[in-house]
Amino acid sequence: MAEHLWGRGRGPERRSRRAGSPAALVVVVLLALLLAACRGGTDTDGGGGGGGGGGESPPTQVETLDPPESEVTLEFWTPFTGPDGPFMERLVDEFNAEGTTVTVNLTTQAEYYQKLSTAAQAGNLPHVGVVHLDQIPQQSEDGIITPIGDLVDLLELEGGDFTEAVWNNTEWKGERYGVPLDIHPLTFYWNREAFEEAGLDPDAPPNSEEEFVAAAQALNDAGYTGPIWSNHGFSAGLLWASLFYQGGGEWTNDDYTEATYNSEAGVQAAQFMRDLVDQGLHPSGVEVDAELPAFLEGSSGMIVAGPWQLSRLAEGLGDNLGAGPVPQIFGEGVWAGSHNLAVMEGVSDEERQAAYYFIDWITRNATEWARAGQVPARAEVREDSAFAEIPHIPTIAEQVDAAQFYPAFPGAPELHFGAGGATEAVVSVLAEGGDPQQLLDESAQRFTQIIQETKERYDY
Amino acid sequence: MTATPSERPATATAVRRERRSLVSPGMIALYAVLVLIALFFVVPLAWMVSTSLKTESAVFTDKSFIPANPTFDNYARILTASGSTPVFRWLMNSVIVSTLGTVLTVVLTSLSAYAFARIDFPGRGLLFGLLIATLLLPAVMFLVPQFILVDILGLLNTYPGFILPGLAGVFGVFFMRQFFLGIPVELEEAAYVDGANRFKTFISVVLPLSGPALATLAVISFLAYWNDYLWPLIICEGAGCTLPAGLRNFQGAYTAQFGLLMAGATLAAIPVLVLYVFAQRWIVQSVTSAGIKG
Amino acid sequence: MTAGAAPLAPPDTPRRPTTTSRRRRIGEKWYTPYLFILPHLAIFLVFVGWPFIFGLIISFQDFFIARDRQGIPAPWVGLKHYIDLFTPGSIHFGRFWQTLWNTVLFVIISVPTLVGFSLALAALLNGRFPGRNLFRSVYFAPWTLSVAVIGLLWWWIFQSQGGLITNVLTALGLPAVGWLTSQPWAWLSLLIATVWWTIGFNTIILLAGMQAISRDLYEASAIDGANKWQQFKSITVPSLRPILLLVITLQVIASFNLVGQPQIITNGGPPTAQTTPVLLHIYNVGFAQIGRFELSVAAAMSFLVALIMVAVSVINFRIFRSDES
Repeated sequence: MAEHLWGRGRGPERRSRRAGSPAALVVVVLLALLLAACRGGTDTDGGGGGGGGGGESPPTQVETLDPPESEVTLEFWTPFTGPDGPFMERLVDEFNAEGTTVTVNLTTQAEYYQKLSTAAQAGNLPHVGVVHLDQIPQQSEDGIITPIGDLVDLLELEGGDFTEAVWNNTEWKGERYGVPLDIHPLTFYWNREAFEEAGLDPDAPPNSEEEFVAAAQALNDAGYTGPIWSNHGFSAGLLWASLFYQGGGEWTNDDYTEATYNSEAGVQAAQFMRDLVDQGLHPSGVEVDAELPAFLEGSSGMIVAGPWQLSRLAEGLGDNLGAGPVPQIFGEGVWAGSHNLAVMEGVSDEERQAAYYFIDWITRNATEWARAGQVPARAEVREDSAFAEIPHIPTIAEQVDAAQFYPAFPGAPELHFGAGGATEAVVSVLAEGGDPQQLLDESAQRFTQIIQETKERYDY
Repeated sequence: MTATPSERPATATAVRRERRSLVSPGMIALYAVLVLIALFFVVPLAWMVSTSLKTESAVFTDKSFIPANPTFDNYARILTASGSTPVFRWLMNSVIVSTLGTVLTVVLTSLSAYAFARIDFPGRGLLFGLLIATLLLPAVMFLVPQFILVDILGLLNTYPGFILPGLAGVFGVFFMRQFFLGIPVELEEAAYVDGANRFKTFISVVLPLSGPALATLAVISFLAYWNDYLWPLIICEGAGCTLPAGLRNFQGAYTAQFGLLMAGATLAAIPVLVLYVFAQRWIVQSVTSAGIKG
Repeated sequence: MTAGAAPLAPPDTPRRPTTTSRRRRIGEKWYTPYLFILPHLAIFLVFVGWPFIFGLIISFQDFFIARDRQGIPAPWVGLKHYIDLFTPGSIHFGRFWQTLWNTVLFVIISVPTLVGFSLALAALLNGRFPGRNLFRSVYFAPWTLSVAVIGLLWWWIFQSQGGLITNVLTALGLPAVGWLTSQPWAWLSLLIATVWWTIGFNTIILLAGMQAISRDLYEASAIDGANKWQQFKSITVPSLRPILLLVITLQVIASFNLVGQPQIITNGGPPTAQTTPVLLHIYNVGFAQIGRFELSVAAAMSFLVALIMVAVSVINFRIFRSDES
C-alpha cells in the first residue's frame, strides 16, 4: 500500500455510539473465507501455461534439428547484465542475421530468478532461457524448465563431450534439463606492471600458499594496497569456496541430509583469508565489487573475480592484464558455475523445435561466447584451434578439470549464497574477526535443518 | 486550512527591532548556520550530478566537484541502453501510475468520506471503525497476500496492479471526512431545500468548497505513489517497473559503476526536483496542513 | 499508531454543531450512502480485507507459490510457524528476533535524533527574515525524492573507495572508516541518510506549529527579561506539545517501517543481518530466497509484527490519553 510511506493520519475519532449492524461484517468475513477456501484447492487460472513440473507427461518429442517451417519468434532471457552481456547480444544478432525462420528476441534481466518466478505466475515465461547448472533441480521443481532429453539425443551429446561434473548435474530425477553452454571458474587476475614493480615474475603468477602470501607481501610493499577480494558472495565467497574445495571440502553428505561445510577444510580456508587481513596485507571491510575499480585504477595488484569480468578488465588494463587459474593454495580445486540453455514451460511444439535449433546453433558457435570470458563447455570447442587464439581464456580454461560445482539438489547454492549461509559466515570472519569454526558451525547446523525440509518437500 | 502564521508583530517597537536586527551579529550567525545546513542538503545532490558526468576511471581519480573532463557518456549509455534499464519507460510508468492513482484516490475517498461525514446510515460507525483500525497495521503484513491476490487477478506487472492496493488506503477517507465535517451544514441544507439530492449537493456545494483539501490530498497521494518502492519492486518486471523499483534493478545491473548509477539517479531525481522548484510553496503547505490536520 | 492526538480538533476549525441528518431526508433512497462508499469500500475489501484473511490462512500452511501454480495443494501446518518463531534453534527464530531488535534499535536512535534536529531546525527558521522560505524549501527538497534515489546516492557517498565522505575524511587527515562494512558505522550511515532524506518533513510541520504561537507570549516574556533559550523552553516547547506528539508518533511509525535504505545502502548490513530491520527481513524471506520463497513464514512473521505494533500503538495511545487529561 502506498500510504505507508508518508505515515498515517491520527487514530480513530470518538466512535459513534450507534452500534452498526454487525451483519455486514459477518458477511464480509464469510465471503472472504469462502474465497480463500476456493482459492486453496484448485489450480489457478492466473498462472502460466501448462501445469508443468514432475509427474506430468513430457511434451511431444522433437525429431529434427532443423528450423521449423513457419516463422517463429523466440523470447530468450539471460542474466548477463555484466560486461559479458554484449557478447551474447552479438551472438544473437549473428543468429538472426542468418535469416532462418527463427527470430530470437534477447532480454537481459537483473534479479533473474525472481523475474522468472514472477513471469511464470503471470504466464509470461520466455521460450528459451539461460539456467545455471546448480539451479536446474529447483527450477525444474518449480515448473519453470522442461525436460529436453530429445534434444540431447539429437545433439548426440554424451558425458565425454563435457566435464563429468557438469554433465551429471544437468539431470534431475531422471530427466535432462539443460545443454551446457559454458563453464565459468573463478579467475585470478593480476597487473603485470605491478608484478614487475614488486619484483614478481608477471609470467609466473603465485601457485602455492607461500608464493601467494609472498606475492601479497611484495605487492603491499610496492604500494599496491588495494583489495584482492570484496566482502561479498561473488568475490570473497568464491575464493573461500575454491580454497574449501582445495582442502577437500564437501558441501553435504551423500544423501543431502547434512550440511558439512563447517569441516576442517572450511575453517582452514576462512582462516587463511583472515590471516592475510591480520597481517595487514588486506583491508578487512571491502564493499561489494570494490575490488574491480581498485584493480582498474591501479591500487590493487591482483584480484579474484569472475571470468565474465574479463572484457571489462582487458579494456582497462590492455596488455598489462594477466589472467589465469586461481592459485592452488591447498591443492587442486576451483569454484565454478556453468550456464546452461533450457526450454521453458508453456512452449508449443513448433516453438520447441525452433528452440532446439537455436540452442544447437549457439553451442556450436560458443567460441564467440568464449571471448566474453566464458569457457565453452563442450570439449571439442575447447580443443579447436580458433579457441586457442583467444587471449587469456585458454589459460583460464586450464582449471576446468579441477572445477567443482554445488551438489545437485534444489536450493543447493543457498548453502553458499543464502541468508545465513557459508559466505555470510566467512565475510563475518573477514570483516569482524569472529571464530571461523563457531560461525561455520552455526551456519551449517541451521542449513542442515533447511536441506532436510527441502528433501522432504520435494521427495528425493 | 494551513495554520496561519501570525506574521504581523504586535507592536511598533517590535517592528523596529526586527528591521534593525537584520545585520546584527546574531543575524549573521544565524545566516551562517542556515547556509551551512543548506550545504549539507545541497552538496550530496551536487556530488551526484558531478559523478554522473565522469568516466568510470575518473570517478575514482578525479575527486573534485567539477569534473576535469565532463562527459555525457553515462547518460547516453543509459538512455540508449538495451532491454535491462529502460529509464524512460520507467519514468512514463511512474507518471501514469501516479496520476491515475491520485485521481482515483481523490475521487473515491472523497465520495466515501462525504457519506461518513454527513449521512447517518446503518453500519456507519462499524465500517468507519474498521477502516481506521487498519491504519494501525503495518503495510508489510499485506505484501504477501496482496502479491498472491494480484497474481490471481492476473494483474502482475500492470498499472492496475500498481494502483489498486494503494487505492484501498484509508488516509484519504479520514482526511477528507475531517474536512467535510468542518463545512457548515447550512450550505448543504440550503441546497436540499432547493431540491438537490445528496449527490448533487456533493458536486455543486461541497466539492467547490473543498479545493485546498483536495489539492492537499492530491499532492500527498501523488508523492506517495511516485515514491512507492517495495510494492512495485515485488510485482514489476523489466520495462514495466516504475522508476524507484527500476532503479533497484539498475543497481544490480551496474554494480560498482558509479558514474552510470549516479546518472540513473539523477535522471530519476530531475522530474521531481523540477516539479518541486515550481510548486514548492504549494507542496510544502499541503504537507504541513495534512500533518497538522492529520 | 496513535490515536494520541485524536481528541484534538484542528485548531482553526470552528466547532459548530455539525449535524448529520439523524433521519433520512425525505425522498432519499436508503441505498444512497452505500453508493457513496461502495467504490472505495469495494477496493478496500478486495485489497485489504481479503489479503488480511488470506494472509492469516497461509500463515497456517506451508504455501509455496510455484507449487500452488502447478496444482500441488499446500499442506496445513497449524501454528507451526508461530511456534517456531518462539523456539530457539528453529530455522527462523534467530533472524526474526535479531531483526526485530534491529528495528527497535533504529527507532531508539532515530526518533530523538530526527525529532530533536528538526525541532532545532524549525527554531532556527522561526522568524521573519529574507530567504527564510528559500532555506525551508532547500531543507525539505530531499523528502520528495524516492528512497531508491536516496539509497543509490548515499551508497555511493559512503563507499570507502572514492566516496565523498572518505574523500573528505582523507583530505582532513582523519582515518577512513568502513561506513558500510562495519559497525557502528553502518547504523550511523543509515541514520545520516535518513536524516538527510526526511528531516525536512518534521521541520516544516514543527515550523508551522511554532508560527501559530502568538507573538504576544514572547513579547510578554521578553519584557520580563527572558532570553531566547528560556523562551524556547517555557513557551515554544509547551505550546508545541500536540504537534510535537504528532511528529514523534509519525516518526516512530516511519522508523518502524524502515526498509528501503538498508536494502540499498548496506544490503542488510555487515553480514549476519546486522542492519536488517524486521520488515526487510520479512521481504527477504518471502521474496528474495530463490526457489524457497517462504510466503507462509513471511506471513506469520508479519502478523506477529503487526500484533506488536498494535500493542505499541495502544500503549502509546494510553500514555498520551492520560497525559492529556
